[in-house]
Amino acid sequence: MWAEIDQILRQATRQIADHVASFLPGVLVALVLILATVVAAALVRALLGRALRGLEFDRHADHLGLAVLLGWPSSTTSPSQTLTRVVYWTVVVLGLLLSLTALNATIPSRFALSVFQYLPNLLAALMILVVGAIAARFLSRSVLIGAVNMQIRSARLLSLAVRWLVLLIAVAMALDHLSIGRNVLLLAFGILFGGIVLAAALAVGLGARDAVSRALERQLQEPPRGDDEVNHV
Amino acid sequence: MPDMRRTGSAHDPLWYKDAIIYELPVKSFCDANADGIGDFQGLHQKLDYLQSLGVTCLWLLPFFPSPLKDDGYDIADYVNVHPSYGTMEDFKTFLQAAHERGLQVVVELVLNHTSDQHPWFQRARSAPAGSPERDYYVWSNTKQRYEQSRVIFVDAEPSNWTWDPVAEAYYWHRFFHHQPDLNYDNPAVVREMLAVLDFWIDLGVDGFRLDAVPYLVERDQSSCENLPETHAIIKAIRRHIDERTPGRMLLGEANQLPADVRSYFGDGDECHMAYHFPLMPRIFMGLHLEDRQPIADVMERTPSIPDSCQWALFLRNHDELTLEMVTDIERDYMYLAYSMDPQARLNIGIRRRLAPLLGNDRRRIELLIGLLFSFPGTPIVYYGDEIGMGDNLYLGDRNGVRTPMQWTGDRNAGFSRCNPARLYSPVIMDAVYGYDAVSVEAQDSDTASLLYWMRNMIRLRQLFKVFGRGTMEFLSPSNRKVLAYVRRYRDDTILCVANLSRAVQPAELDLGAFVGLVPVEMLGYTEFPAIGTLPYFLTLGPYAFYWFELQRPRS
Amino acid sequence: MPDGGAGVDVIVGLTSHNDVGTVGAVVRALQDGLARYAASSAVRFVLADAGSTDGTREAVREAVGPSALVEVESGRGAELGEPPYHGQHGREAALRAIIETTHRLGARACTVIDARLQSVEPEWIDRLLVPVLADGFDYVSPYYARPVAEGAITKGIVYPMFRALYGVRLRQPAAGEFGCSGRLAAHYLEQDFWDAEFAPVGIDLWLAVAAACGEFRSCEAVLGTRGAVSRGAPTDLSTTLKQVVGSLFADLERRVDVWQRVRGSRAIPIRGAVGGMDPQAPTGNVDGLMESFRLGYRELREIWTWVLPPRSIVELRTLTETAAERFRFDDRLWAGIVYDFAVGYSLRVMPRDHLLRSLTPLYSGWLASFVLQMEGASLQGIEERVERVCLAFESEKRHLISRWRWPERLR
Repeated sequence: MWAEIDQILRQATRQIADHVASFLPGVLVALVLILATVVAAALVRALLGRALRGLEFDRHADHLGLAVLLGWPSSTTSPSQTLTRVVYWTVVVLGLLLSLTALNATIPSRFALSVFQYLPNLLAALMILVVGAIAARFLSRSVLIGAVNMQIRSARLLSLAVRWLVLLIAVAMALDHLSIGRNVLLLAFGILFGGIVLAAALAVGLGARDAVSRALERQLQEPPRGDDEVNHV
Repeated sequence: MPDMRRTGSAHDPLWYKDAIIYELPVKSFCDANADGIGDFQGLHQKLDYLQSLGVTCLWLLPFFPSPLKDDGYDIADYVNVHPSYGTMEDFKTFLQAAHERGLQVVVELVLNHTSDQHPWFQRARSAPAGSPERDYYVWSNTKQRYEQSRVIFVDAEPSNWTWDPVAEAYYWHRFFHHQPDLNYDNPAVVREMLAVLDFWIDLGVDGFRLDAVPYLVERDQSSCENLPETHAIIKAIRRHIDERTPGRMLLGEANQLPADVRSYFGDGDECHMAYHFPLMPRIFMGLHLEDRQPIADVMERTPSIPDSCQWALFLRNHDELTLEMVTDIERDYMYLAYSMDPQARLNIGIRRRLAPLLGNDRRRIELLIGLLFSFPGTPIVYYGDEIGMGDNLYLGDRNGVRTPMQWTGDRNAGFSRCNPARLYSPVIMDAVYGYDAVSVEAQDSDTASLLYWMRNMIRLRQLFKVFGRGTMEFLSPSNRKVLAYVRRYRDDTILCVANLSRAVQPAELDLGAFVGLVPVEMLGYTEFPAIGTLPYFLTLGPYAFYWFELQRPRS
Repeated sequence: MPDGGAGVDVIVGLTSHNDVGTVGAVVRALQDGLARYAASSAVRFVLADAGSTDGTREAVREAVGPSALVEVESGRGAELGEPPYHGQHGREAALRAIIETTHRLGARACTVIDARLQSVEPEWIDRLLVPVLADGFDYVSPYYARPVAEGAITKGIVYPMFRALYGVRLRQPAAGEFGCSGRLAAHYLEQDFWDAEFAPVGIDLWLAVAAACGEFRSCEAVLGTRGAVSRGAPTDLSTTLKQVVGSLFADLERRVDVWQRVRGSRAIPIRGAVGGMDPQAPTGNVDGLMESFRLGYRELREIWTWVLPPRSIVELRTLTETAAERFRFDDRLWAGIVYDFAVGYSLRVMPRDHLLRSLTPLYSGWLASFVLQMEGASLQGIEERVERVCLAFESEKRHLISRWRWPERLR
């Protein structure tokens, strides 16, 4: 009887020891990973900070109107500080997830994996949105001025269209990166663009056929317009 | 290696004559690494602000390794950066960035003394008497030598001699007892200091502020100030700089009467610049008396200086508003007028910032800055005075005027992201001058702010070389509340008129020398009636000041 | 390359790019003029060719002869095949090379002519070089007779503003032809604008500005009518305006200590008799111009409020509601608008490209009014009208100075 108890106990101990033994390297690896992550993140932060300072990122961002456009909380955190901070925390989170995977716990690791797969998309999507917002603003003004100078009467409409088009494309691209409703999106855009093009074609073909042909004839017959010949300088 | 040497960043060797100097302690300006102490990275981030302000030269208070018992003027290593402020790399990056923005950089060179923690002193005190190591400093077996020299920090030091138990002798110090004076009779000391100078020149620094220059050499039976031997040392330094790379500027700090300060210019072969100490208290006095006499007096008693030399003018700086260079009665008046609170007094002076001294009256602040910018010399703006920062009298010594720069209304005034308890000094938090009321951010968005006004004034002043280089003649209108003077340089003639009083004042100016010219007010570019043979009549609002270009009428 | 530096008096600089068809005639006319008016001077031709592929270089070598020709390298633009500017690509490099040669050879005078300019006459040597050689002038600027709508940017912006700012009445401060002295050439080489933004289009103007800002004597030379020289693809009005006005504004910041002190302006001597010019009917499409102005007001008003004070906006509004026959763009309003754009440019209130391009409809409005008023006017009449524009620019200058010194933020 004692022998049995002893055996069971031994067995249990061995099992626990086995489990611990199999688990321990994972913990160690995780710890090492966490440590490495923190070091790496700090390193990346320092390097990036230095590089951005060297490139005078804040100054250029300011010149590009980046800060103003994004309504940056002025002077408390400069664009470069914000960027460094974002990168720092990204690295930290990635490292933590990696270390979870090392523990070989199925649920967190699966979660970690999916997050891993998703994260670059998330970042890219964010980037696209920011760039899109800036580009939309800049381009719409460019188009407005350009169209007015070309004496296009519906200049404002055009510039608004450009702004929303760029914004929409940016949003669509961002959503696409996040793989949210990819099919719906594709379909919606297809229908929208196809519809617009079709409508325009129909309008030109049916309604304004004469006007268009007249305009084309004019273009062909007298290529440069009268006042373009004047030397303004 | 001569090709490694960098030249000065300014093209004109007389650049300091057209400069506007901004004085700042790295410690107090901006903290980038959230340790509660400002640093070079933080300063680097704020260079665009300084550029947009329009200043052309930065004067950095000491940033060298130091026990910081005298705010860095006790230096323990001349050729390095205090770890709290960053690394040598940080300094180089900052310097390059400043030069790219056309900003010159002037650093401190404390010639007179070191910290008692400096290796030279540690070596000297344990070396035997009479050895070369011991000879780096001034030693004596009695306190009875050089008895005729005064004690400067009367509130802190009983004597200029302090007993050193290790060396078993007294050592000489003109300032705090932890700042032993170097022995400039020892050629080795001079060589060491020239090497320090070369180190910073090779990095590209544009100028040096020579701290406490009158006290370099000691002699029996003298006040140990302004001695010929001291001048010889300065001449040697200047010669060394000129031979090595011209275009570097020496700014001498000699807190003396102008006649004595004059000797520090030599024949244009000592300092390029020196402070005009007596002007500052007299401007404040003239303002309070509503009388131009104190100001006109001191300017007329100012000796002429060589062409290549320049006065450095300031209203306030990191020290107390010193009253050493005024008479007893004037000092009494100044104490009564500007420091009824005895807390505000320190040594022989008043430790307050510009705005609190003037009761935070925007018109008076503008008037004094207008005077500063139009007097012959290079103006120095103390950090924070461009936004009208306040001070904290409850901080000891002169720390009340060295509080963190107020950037925003956020935590720690935007100076640092650290725990407020970690700051090297509390930020100003009172209702009038606190950072929620006074900050760069707030004033940046307000076109009527003092900061905006300063930017425009600096921009305007920089258009005219006459302010930095021209001559000055006082007019004497019968109304003594009106200060009027003419500045001339080449073809430019500028008439400046200021009302020192709180009430509207009339002024009749004798402009007989300028008959036919048309005064054009410089800020708004408004033409005034042409000058005739009769006295020119002007009405000046309270604390008003006008600058006029005297132009030839249109043909 | 011949380098007979000793004893060269005169440099004739030619800028060319694929001009084999015209360069022979140009060189002959110049040689004829040199023989007639500067016979005693030792002359070198300097050819700054921007990489011609049609034998222009060979044609010049043949026409001039190797002993009198110096060829200089210019036109990095041509090699790279980048899209041409409105002006000649690499023009700043070409001019710099010619002026450097002038300085290097120690010549007393230099003139620069475009090899495509068919209207060159032998008299041009008399007009452009003799004032420098004989009368001690440093800068000779051409005076062309031009119809109403031709050179309207020069008439309406460049000349009045140049004159108000720098005090010298040069009617064509951005002309491609000029004469200059050896002393001025040396001064040019010290300038720092050679590599600046807008240099390819602005360099001619900046040379005139540098001459006006220094201690140099300028005069004008009557050169008749200027034949058309078109280089590169024709660009649209708003790009032209952007480049010309941009180069004018860019120079403003470099010269601030000069123009803030200049008061009034002075007439300068004219060499040669100002001939008449046949009155011409307005060529511009006035209705189109006015329409473009109205459209601009409707759509760009929002952008203009960043630089123009409310008063100007309201005046513009009144103008849009005016019928065509009473359409008059007030000179003072126009001067104020140009100056406000200059201040906005300096303060970078918005991307500079946007700012400069948004000036186009305003210019169209001004031009419409100018053409309407000048219908059938003689050269004399046009001159008088331009004079009034200039006076408006001169009297509004104090607003420019005060706003420059004490900028107000409008938005």
